[in-house]
Amino acid sequence: MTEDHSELNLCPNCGKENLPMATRCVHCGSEMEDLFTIFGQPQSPDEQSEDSLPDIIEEIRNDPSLKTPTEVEPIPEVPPADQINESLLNSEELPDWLAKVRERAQGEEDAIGDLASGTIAMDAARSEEVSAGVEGEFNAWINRVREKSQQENSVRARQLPNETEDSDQVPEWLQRIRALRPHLEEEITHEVKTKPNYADEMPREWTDEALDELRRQALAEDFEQEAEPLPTTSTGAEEEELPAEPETEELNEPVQDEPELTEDDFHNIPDDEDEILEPIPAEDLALSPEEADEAITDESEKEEQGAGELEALEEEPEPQIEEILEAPGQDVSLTNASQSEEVEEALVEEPASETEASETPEQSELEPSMTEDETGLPPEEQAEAPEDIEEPADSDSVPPDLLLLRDQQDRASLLASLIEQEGRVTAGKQLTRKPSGRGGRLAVALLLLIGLIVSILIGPAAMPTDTPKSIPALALDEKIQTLVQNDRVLVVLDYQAATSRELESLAAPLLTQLHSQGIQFTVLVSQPSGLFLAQSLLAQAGLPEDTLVEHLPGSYLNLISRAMNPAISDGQDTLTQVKDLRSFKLVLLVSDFSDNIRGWLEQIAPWIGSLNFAAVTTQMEAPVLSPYFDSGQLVGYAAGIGDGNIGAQTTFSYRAYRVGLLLMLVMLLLGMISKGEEDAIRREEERAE
Amino acid sequence: MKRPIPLIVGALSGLIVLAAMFIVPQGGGILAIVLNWVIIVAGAALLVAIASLVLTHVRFIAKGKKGFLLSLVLVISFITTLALGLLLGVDRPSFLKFVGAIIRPIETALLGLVALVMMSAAMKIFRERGWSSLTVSFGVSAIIFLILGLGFPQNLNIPVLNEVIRFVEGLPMIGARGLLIGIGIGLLLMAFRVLFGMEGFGND
Repeated sequence: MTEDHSELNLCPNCGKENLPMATRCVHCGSEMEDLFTIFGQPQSPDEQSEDSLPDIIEEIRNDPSLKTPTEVEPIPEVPPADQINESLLNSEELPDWLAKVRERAQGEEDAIGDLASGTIAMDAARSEEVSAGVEGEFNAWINRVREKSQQENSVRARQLPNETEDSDQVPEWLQRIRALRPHLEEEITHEVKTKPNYADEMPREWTDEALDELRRQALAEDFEQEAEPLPTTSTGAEEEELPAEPETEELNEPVQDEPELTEDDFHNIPDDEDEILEPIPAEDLALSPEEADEAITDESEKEEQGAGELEALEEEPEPQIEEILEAPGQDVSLTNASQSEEVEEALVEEPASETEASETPEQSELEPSMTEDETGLPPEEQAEAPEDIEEPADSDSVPPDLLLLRDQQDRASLLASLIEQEGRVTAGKQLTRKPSGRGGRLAVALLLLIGLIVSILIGPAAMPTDTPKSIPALALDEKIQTLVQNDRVLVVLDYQAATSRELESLAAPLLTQLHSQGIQFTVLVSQPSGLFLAQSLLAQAGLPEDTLVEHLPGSYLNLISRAMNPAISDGQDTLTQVKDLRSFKLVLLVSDFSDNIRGWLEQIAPWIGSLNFAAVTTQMEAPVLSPYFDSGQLVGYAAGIGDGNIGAQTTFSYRAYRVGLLLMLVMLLLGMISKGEEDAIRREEERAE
Repeated sequence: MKRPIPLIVGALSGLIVLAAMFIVPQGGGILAIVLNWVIIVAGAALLVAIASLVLTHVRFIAKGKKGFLLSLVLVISFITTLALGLLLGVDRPSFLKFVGAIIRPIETALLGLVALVMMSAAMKIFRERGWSSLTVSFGVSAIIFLILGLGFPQNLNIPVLNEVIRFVEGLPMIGARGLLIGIGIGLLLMAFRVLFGMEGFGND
């Protein structure tokens, strides 16, 4: 990098300076696109010629004369630039493509291309202070390089923020860019701010230990800092050293023989680096051959200083090209006529180097090490550094590519825990079967029906005659036995057809007993369906069919007033023939609903103290009546099969009744067992988890 | 929004009946009149309900609504029963046998289905409700009384066991007493709410 205004494009029209990326002059408005025109590259697909760049590169690759020699050849003594130029022109061994290029350059007026024309115009417009010539600039520049001015050499387009803070280290072109486009500068700075700055912290003389320490520090820092290509020590120097590539190619062989280099070491350059570098020679075609010769001369002077420097120079060309692409100011240098020649040499040499890289993998292994050279070391130290840097500082040290981020470490620990649990014995997850409602109900219904049907088909089993009755039933029997002939008994039927079988089996024996004792019956029904139910009951009890059965609308509510005041029933027409409840010795309530019985006992009984109430009900309703029996409001009640002494009844299947009860018991136990099993499985799963 | 007139009528009716219960025997006449009104109104309401039911199903049939065949069966059965009752009389034994022969098996079958549903519910109650005091007490009591219902323990004729069985069979009376007391208190509070217009009649 130079500090003069060579990085800026000069307008071919007005000769004033413009930014490198400007396509139009900011002063006169004239087009500056021509400055970026690459010689030999067609401007449009229609302009493609036979001597296009890909063809030239292909010829270079196929040219056996440009293949890398297998043996290490001694470093030739570099002749003066003029001699080299003449020798190259007159050499019979020149490749065809180069001969064509030079013939074209001699034959055609504008063979050097539009870019060179632009640069010539620019040179003409430049002031006299630039007229010192390219050679003088090169000498001055090389002197600066050899003075190991780290501050001047380490500045690049992508500098670190702390580097940019020092205005002395910032090139003029960058300062102008920052002045014009501060935001862009910030963005650029932000992108590269993770790059380490070794310029001020590096020891001036690099030893193996110092380089090892440097590498450890680099590994300890952020991985991205290592991943990014490190800044080169001297951009301008590398630009000038581009023509030295022919010599460096010859020096590649000793480097390839170094056993310490491995591919894994310092491989922070993407694999497509070569692809990025490929178009560079095309841009560099604008360099003039004279510039290349001068560069070769300077390079030969460097090589005379030691093999270490030669090795460093050998590795520099590709980073140079990379910097040409990356550094904005490098485009300005391309406008220099001397540098255009230099780039032309690079065009000649770069395909050869690519061919070598493709043929020898070891050659490509050296490329990553070039980024390590960009650590801000002085050129001389860089020449010594590569071997040390390319070697792993510590065999046990972790390569930068293998450094784990925190998130990666967490994932790794999770994976490790999963692997640890893989071998453990865990309880297998058992499928919890949820029986469908339809299937379960169908199974229950079938089981119950099958049991009942089988028990019925076997035949009715006689109920044991000695089955003990309940106490209320015994009290009811005793009360009935106290009745004498012509006593009146009111029988109230208040049940539905669904429970008629159970109640009739209980009530019929009682009615039969009453009828046998000469008791007079009065039958009332409180429900419309009671009429035909009473008929059935009377038939079962063996009573005459002409027995009076009356419907009592409103049930016991219809009798409350008569119970309160017997005079009412005597003097008024009533809905029933029951005029006075006090004439009855016993009221026998046959009901399947305990509330109706309770209504009789609570609404009627208090008004008639001498009236006795008894009940025949279902076994389900019996518990509700037990308090009334215990309090004496009921003289007795019969409920259930055992109280009815129905064992003698042929219509009743005692076996079916017991089978039904047994099946219900089994189902209930199954429900409890299934729940217990489900809970056990759940506990086992929770324990396993 | 409660309508005032039904509210006043309901409250006055309740107060009259309650007063008549305390004015014995003079209050018996008033109570008889009021209760007869109640019975007649209830009968009229039953007729209205029957008419509404029949008309609803007739509309279903007319519109061909889904399940109208069942509505058709209902209407036909109602008309047939009504016609036979009017022609033959409700006290005729043949008519009573005819009606009883239809209603008795139907209702008995429905009661059998209730038994199946209850048995299925007894199985599912543990899975649905889990182990709680309610389900455990239900299961234990059901098992005990089903075993007692089978009659096996009673047939053993063991005096001590018979005493235990007698004690166990008396346990339901405790629950029944509590149930009856709760019912009585609830009815009393409901009566007060009705009398003071806080419940029952007049709601829109």
